[in-house]
Amino acid sequence: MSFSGIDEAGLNDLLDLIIPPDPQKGLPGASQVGFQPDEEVWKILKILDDAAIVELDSRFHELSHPDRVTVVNSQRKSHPRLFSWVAKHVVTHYYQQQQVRRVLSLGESPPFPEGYSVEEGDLTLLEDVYFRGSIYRHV
Amino acid sequence: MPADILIIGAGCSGAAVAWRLSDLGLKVVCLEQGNYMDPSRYPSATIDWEQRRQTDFHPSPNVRRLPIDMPVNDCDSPISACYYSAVGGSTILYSGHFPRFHPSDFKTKTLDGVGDDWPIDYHELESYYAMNDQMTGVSGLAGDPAYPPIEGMLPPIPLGRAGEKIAKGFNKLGWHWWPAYAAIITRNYKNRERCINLGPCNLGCAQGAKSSTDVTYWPHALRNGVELKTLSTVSRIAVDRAGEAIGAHYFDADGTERFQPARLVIIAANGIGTARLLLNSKSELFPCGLANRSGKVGKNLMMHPLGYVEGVFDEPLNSHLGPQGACISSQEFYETDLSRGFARGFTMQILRGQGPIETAVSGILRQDIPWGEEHHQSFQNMFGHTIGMAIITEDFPEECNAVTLDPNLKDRHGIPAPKITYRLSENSKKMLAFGIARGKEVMKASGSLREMGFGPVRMAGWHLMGTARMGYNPKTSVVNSIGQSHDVRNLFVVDSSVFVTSGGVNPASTLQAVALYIADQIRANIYEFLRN
Repeated sequence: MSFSGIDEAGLNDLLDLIIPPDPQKGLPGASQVGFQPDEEVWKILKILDDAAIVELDSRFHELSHPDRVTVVNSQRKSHPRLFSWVAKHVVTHYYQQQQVRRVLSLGESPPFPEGYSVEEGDLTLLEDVYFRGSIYRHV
Repeated sequence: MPADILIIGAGCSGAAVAWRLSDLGLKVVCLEQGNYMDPSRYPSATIDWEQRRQTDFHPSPNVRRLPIDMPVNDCDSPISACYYSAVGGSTILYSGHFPRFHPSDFKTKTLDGVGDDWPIDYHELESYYAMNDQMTGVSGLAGDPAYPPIEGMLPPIPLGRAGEKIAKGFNKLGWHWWPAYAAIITRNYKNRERCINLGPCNLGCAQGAKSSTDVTYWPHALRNGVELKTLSTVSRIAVDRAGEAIGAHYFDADGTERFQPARLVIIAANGIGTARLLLNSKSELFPCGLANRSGKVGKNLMMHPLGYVEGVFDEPLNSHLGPQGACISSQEFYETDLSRGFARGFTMQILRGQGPIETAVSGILRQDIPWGEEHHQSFQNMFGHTIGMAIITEDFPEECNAVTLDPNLKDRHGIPAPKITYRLSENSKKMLAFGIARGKEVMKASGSLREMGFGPVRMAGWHLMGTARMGYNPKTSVVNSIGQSHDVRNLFVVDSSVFVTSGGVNPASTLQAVALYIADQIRANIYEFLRN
């Protein structure tokens, strides 16, 4: 599936509506992390473009930000599974990115071999439990 | 080469039995349809570890679709069947929960008028629980008022901030809790290195600290001379004219059909695989399947309907760190109290929080993390701020819950695949609803901002029990009190198929104790059981 320039603009709009950039935190938007669209994304872009033309007489990527949000929200209600499916793939891709993981301190390397340290916790909290006595049935 | 003892399945129970029978001076062969695992390729050693839970390490064989996977038709069940085929079996993907059954679990009919009594009891198994703990390497804390004394454990898994937080909630309510019993070593043990809190134990442990049987029993069994043939899928067990087992037909790694002769056959293929194998082993003498004169093979499937509760907390708890499944557990509601509206009970297990991708995905799907401007802040408010809880409910043996052979579905060798038919009883439904409500209550008492819960969780059918049940009566059970088929003198079953009831805890510890118990009964009279 190849995307025209207009489709790509629509795609970027959609991606940034899901996860917008946050320059203050140094976080990119979802359009900036190399998301590869697939057939389902194409379906959504078509739905959004058709809806934009019917509802606002304009291509989706030509709408103002508030209008894009309005169109997306109305179509999310009509096609909840499709939009959820695409959102799932967008966030999965987004939170794999080194840049994102670095800013959010999510770990830039696999758990192994370094591992992590975890607080032991206060086992004296068990005193209440212990002194209550046996709770199993003696058979 | 003929075997004296043939074990089918190299997982949780097969490994324990292989080790226990490995020093008799007999030829022991094990056939395993999976392969050896390579821990350096486990997800926790790769940056995309979270996504691999959706692909090659997915809990369901129907989603993984690895060449060695046995497919299963689970459309007629609200709970999907989960298992893994490898040296180590499903212990490769278990979370390492290792609580024991309670003494009352073996006497539910006598005590509560539900289920059935086992022909063995807790005290007969006690030394086998201890033997298994010693071989496995178990962490925990002695003195738990929910159990008879348990000794000899390694120090408990760290509670972490999240564990401590919810422990205070349990205390506020005056409810029982205790550090989890975990098959995870917190100190170096038997040439294995201690847990370093990688997190996703249920995706395989690259450190080798989780006590899956490929790193516990198998090294000892192999050193004692057990021959383990991997990538060997058994299609059926053969019998002679006298009705004694003579070995098993299997497909090797190249897909060539072979026969492994044996004088004694032990099945250790889990609550679905064992039933499937017996039902596929039809013959003139056993037209309804091997060892199935009772008609009970495949019946009484129990799966532990699982509830899930989650609380979101204001402060950072670093809850995503630590062994994902093991933290603390509560057995406040384990024993029967009919005023609750149901018989028997359940365990509440505190889980660690999810990884970043799972947090984001579940947050997006549940609308807890919105699209748009608020996305980033909402993600940060969720990640490391949640505490999860699994509610493991006891379900009873019911004949309508069953494993049968699917008329159409087959594995890659053309062997008929299993179909499961399962529904929750009214007792299970009431117990699950009650458990979820109590889970939310403890989250609230711990200070959660909001709570959610649901059940049964679909992708949670790891505990597969009851389909070749143990009992004194050949008309109502498949094997006797020592795991020996009522119908075939030299055929034994050692996996959780033999469970009479399910208890309200993870079954791994008990199924291995039962397997070791059966192995010792075989040891004691080995020459009586071997085919001449």
